[in-house]
This record gives sequence, structure tokens and C-alpha cells, in this order.
Amino acid sequence: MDFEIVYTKGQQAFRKEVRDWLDKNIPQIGELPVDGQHITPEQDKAARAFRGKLGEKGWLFPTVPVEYGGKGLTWEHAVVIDEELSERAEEIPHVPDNSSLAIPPLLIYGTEEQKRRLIPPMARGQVTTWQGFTEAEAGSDLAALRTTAIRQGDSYVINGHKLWQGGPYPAENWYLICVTNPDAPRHHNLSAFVLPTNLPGISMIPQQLFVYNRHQVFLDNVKVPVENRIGEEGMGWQCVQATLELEHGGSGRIGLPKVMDHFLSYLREAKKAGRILDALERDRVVDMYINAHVERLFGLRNYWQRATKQWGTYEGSQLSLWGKVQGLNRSKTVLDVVGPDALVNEEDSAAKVRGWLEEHQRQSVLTHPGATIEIQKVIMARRIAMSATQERAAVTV
Amino acid sequence: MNLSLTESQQLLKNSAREFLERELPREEVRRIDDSPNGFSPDLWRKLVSLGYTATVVPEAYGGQRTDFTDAAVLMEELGRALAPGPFFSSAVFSALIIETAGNENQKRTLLPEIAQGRRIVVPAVTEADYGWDPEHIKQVTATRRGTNWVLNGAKFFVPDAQLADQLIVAARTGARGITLFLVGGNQTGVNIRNISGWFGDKLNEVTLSKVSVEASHVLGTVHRGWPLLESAMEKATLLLCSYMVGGTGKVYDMTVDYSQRRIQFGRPIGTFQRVQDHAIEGLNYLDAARWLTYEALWKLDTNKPAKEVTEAVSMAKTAASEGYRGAAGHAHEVHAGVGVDKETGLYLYTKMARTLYHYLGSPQQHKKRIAELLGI
Repeated sequence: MDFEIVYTKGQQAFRKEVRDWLDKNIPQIGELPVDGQHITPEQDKAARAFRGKLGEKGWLFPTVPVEYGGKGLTWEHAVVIDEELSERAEEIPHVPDNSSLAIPPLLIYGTEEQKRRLIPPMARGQVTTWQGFTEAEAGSDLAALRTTAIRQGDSYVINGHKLWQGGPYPAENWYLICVTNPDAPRHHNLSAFVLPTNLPGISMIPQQLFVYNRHQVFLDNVKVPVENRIGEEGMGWQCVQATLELEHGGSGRIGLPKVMDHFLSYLREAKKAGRILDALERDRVVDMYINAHVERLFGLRNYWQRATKQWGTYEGSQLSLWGKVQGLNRSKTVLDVVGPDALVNEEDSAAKVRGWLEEHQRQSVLTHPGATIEIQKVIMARRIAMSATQERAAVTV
Repeated sequence: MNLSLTESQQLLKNSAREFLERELPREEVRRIDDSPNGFSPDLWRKLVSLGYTATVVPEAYGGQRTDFTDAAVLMEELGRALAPGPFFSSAVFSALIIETAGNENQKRTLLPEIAQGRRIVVPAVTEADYGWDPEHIKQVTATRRGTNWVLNGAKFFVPDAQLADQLIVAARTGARGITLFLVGGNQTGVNIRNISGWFGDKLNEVTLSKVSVEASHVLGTVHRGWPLLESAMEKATLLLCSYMVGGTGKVYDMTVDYSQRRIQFGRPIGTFQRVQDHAIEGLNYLDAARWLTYEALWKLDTNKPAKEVTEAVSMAKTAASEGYRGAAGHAHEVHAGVGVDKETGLYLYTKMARTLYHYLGSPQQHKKRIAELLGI
């Protein structure tokens, strides 16, 4: 086994190229908030411009083929880019974008014309994309969604309501799942679309959250051309599966959860100031550290499986489940060891390690994105052949 | 990056599994476990003839070592089959101590014999005040008498000592240090008593009364035995982790298999989500221990910096100890009454998980070491 990429001379040169480029191009827009999300409109604008440059280099979605607006780079190149971006993540303002979830179903089920038309703007970072899945009555039971797209000639007319969309600022592009045949059986009644968010009939209001804000979006007789439907009518659920396979952990990830670094910095500073952990606290902190490494290894395994096209079974959901459960455990350990200081945010001068621990307390509660802990367990059980429903990994790329 | 086994590792895995399933069925493990000395000469001969006992010994000393990951693949299968007897004590742990600490003459004499299974050598390290660090080596002492040394005291929880041709005894040689001695298993003054209890291996008290040892039977430098032992122990610990991961994997497989066969309320119990939760916990324990162990093996085989290897070993042993015990616990929840029946054989894993929990360092001890490395 080999747990690291052995970089060739060429790849090492590539890493230097990426580093140098990031040095020159990461926007200098002042200190960013710890969540990377509560940014000003000016910072958001700069962030999107940076993203566009990254896309123009072909480094936003490095493996997307050239004919679809990418650079067709190898996955080893993608790892170099991921590692370098992750190294500097705290300098780069976050732009919520779900293009990574919209591209796979297009690659699998889209027509050649659609791939050439719809993927390049995403690959080049010219647009950001919302994932239009969740509705008020369709959370864990996604297939119960009610937004309808009814065929009228060469168009579909869409009516409905989507929740938890994107981030604080609107996206330009939408990957949307709707009911196209209300009479068809469950899972066979849906179709997927890619459309612009500025079409007549689309309106949005911010959704106030205790983390970063999102949007709820209303669709009132929105007319979308048939050419924007991905795959055949009724194939929406397959598109959803190609997306969820990745969102449920199948895409993997690289590196240790960030909170670990911040917490260790806090503890080292505290030690200098005379705070000695007792044996119980020490054991809990080290448990947290070991479990963070397990999370890193599950992420690496899944990343490698995806890159080498060896789809596993339960591994995606295992990573997701582990991360969510450990996030909760971590937040308890931090709360116990740090005390109320863990709740002081970055706006207060008394904040420790810039308020990162407070941000983690809030984030750790968010265990639902990409499906709840319970849903991940249901998927794992199906894939280790225990459940009455048995399934393999969904088709994705 | 490549996270699969190599072709030759896969072949080794398959052939070891096939061999062990044939030669070591559950009833045979139970028979050996119930026997007074926990040893099957027939199985031992077969392990030797397949070259398994030579896996960790370097080629220069009559062995067949390639790298530690290769050896770990075999250990995982041995752990899955619960291969009993002195394999780990002699062919892994002692072989590594002798390779690390022994002089050329000792290595040439002992290692080929260990590799060919002709001599069984067993480390005797821990004492009644249990712990795998130098502070806990204090009850057994060695003092000079002329050119010889005289050993006194008692070792406790020593696996496989009842089978030892020779023991490697870690003895306190004054406040200045610890020295390793080769002591004959049947030597005058050596008394071995089996400790009665719920153990997966035979554990013993080894009492040493005025045991005289020639200077030529010192392993390594006088007073400097601990760092040598620790260095060998680090490698041995990872191979023990693989043995434990193998057992954890079997326990998990038994859990899923039983949940599909057991019908209650008119359906397989595996279709109940509360039951599924136990299998999922078991699988998470298994994969956590397995991946930490594989990565640590890779760090060892590729000569990563010492601190990095040490941290990886301690993480792996913590996860292997907690994972094996934890997965066995979840297996019992699913098997319920059937898991208590000796016929099912689950108990063999359950007690092995507990027996190895503290062996080569408890989770608490390894966590303490990680905390030191992290500077917290």
C-alpha cells in the first residue's frame, strides 16, 4: 500500500506552479470571518472573481474534459490542487457552489450538446450552482418532493418552492429536481433540469440561520426549454442518485478536520499559561485526535476509490456518518475542556484562537446536510446486505 | 497512492485463509483452548512448513522477511482464525527483540531456529504492577555475581511461557537501567504457573529464584535494554494490531451473517434498524482499526520519521484494542443467548479481545504517549 502520491518531477513542478499562482491571485480583501461565509458584498465579488480565474486555469474542476470547459487533468493533479487549496483555505473566501454535484449527472445522462453547453460555465467558474432538491415536505424523504414541471410544447412550466438554497448571495445556475409526471410511481415521476436563476417567475427571500444564511426560492410558472432537462423524462431519480452518492461521502476528501489544528493550538497556548489537562481530559482530547485521523483515512480511501473508479458499497455513508458523529463528540470535548470560552465568538476581544472554537460549536450541530446520521445508517445497512432493501453504490463519476 | 493489497499480498491472504479454514476449524480452536498448554504440535508443524514462522525473520538469519505489511497480511488471517499458541510471542515478538538487541552470534544461533519453529522463545516483560513502560519493570532484578548475573523476582501475565524453550526477561539492573536476559525455560530456579482466568492465550506467572545467567546470555547492552525492547515492540505492536483487526473482521462477519439467518417476529433480525445499528458500529470499529494499522505499517515500511511512526503505532493500538473489544460487544448484542453458547464460538473472540486489550500497552498508555508527542 502507498498512502501518498509519489510525485514525479513534473508534478512537483506543477505544485510549485499552483503555489506561485495562489500567491499572486488569492484576493487581498482583509481578514475573513472564521466561517468564511459572513462576507461583505465586496468580498463576495472578489471571491467570485478569484473563482473565475481558478476556473479559467482549469483548476476548479481539474478532471473535467477539455471539450466541456475543463483541462482534462489527471486525478493526481487534482490532488495537488486540492492539497494546496486546502492549505490556504482560511485565506480564500467561501463561495457556496454545488456545481460539483450537477456536473456528474450531466456527464452520465446529458446529451453531447448539453455537456458542451451546460458544463463549461460551471467548470470555468463563471456561474455558481444551487442544488434544488430539498422542500418543506421533502427532507430525508426527498422523493416526496412536490415542485412540478409540466410539459407544454417545447417547454416545461415549473411551479413550487425550494428551501436551504446556496449561501448568503444568490447563484446564477440551478440544478433542479421536479415532478414531471404526477401519475407515475414514486422514483419514476421525477426529472432533473439545469436552468438560470434569473428566469421570470423565480423569486427568493433569505433564510435566516444560526450559521450562514441561505435562501428559499419560489417558482411561479417558470418556463424552461426542454433542452435543459438532463436525460430522459422520468430519469430524475437516477440523476439524484449520481449526486447523492458523492454528497453522501463518496467523493472523499483530503486532510484532517480543521478544528483539530485550532483546538491543539488552543491547548498548547493554555499549557504555556499553566493549564494542565487531567488524565481524563487528556484521554478525551487524544480520542478526538485519533478519530479525526480515522476521518482523514476514510476520506482518503473514498477519494482514491473515486479517482480510480472503484466504487465501493457502504464507504461513502461511513465517511459521512463518522464525520457527523465525531463532530458532535468533538464539540462536547471542546466544550468540557475549554469551558464557556468555547462560546465566545470572533467579534469579542476575549475570543480564543480567533473564535474558531465558537464557530465549531455551531457547525457541529449541523449534522443534516447531505442526509442525517440516521439516513446514513439506513444506507449503510442496505449496502452491507442487512436491510430488506439491498443496494449497491449508485452510478456516478 | 494505492490503497489495495499487492497481487502477492492478495495471494498470501487467500492461501492463508484457505489453509486456516481447513486446518483450524472452530472445534479445533476450542479443543486447543481447553487443553492445558494451549498448543497443537500438528498445527505448529504445518505453520512452520508453510514458512509462516519465518515471515518476520530477515533473510540473512534464515527467514523470509519482505516487509512488515506483507507480514501483517498473514497476521490478520491468523487473528481471524484465532491461531493459538506461541506464534506471536516467538516468531514475531522475540524474533524482533533478538534482531534488534542481539549480537551477531546470538542472531545467527537463535533466529534460524525461531524461523524454523525448532525453538520457542517468549518475552517476559510485565509484572504484577502491570504496565509496558520502564517504570513498571522493577520487581525482577538482576545483580552481578562474578561474571554471571543472578535474577530474582516474578513476571506476571506472560503469554505462552508454558511452552518456552527460552525466555527473554527484562530485569532491573540497578536504578540506572534495565537489561534483557536469555533464560532457559526449564532452568533451575525458573517456575512457571498458569494464571487461571478468562484469557484468550495462556497467561503465566514466571517466578525467578536465584536464576544464574551467564554474561553471554545478555541481549544487547547492559542497562540499555529498554530502548532496544521498545524499538522491537513498536514493530511487534503493529503486527499484533493486524492480528486483532483479523479477529475484529471475523466478529463483524459473524454479526452480519447471524442477523440474516436468525428469524424473529417472522423476519430476519437484520432487517430491524436497532439490530443494524450494532453491525454498523462493529464495521466502523473494524475499519478505523484497519486503516490506522495499514497506514502505520506503510510509515514503518517506508522509514518515515521516528516520531511519526510512534504516533501512528499508538493510534493503531488504541483503535485495535478498543475496536476488537467494542465489535465483540456489539456481536453479543446481536447474538444474544446464542452468543453465550460455547458452540457458537463467539466467546473465543470476546475473551481474546480482552486478553490483548492491554497487551503491549493499554489504550490509556498509548493515548498518554500521543499527548506527549502532541505537546499538550
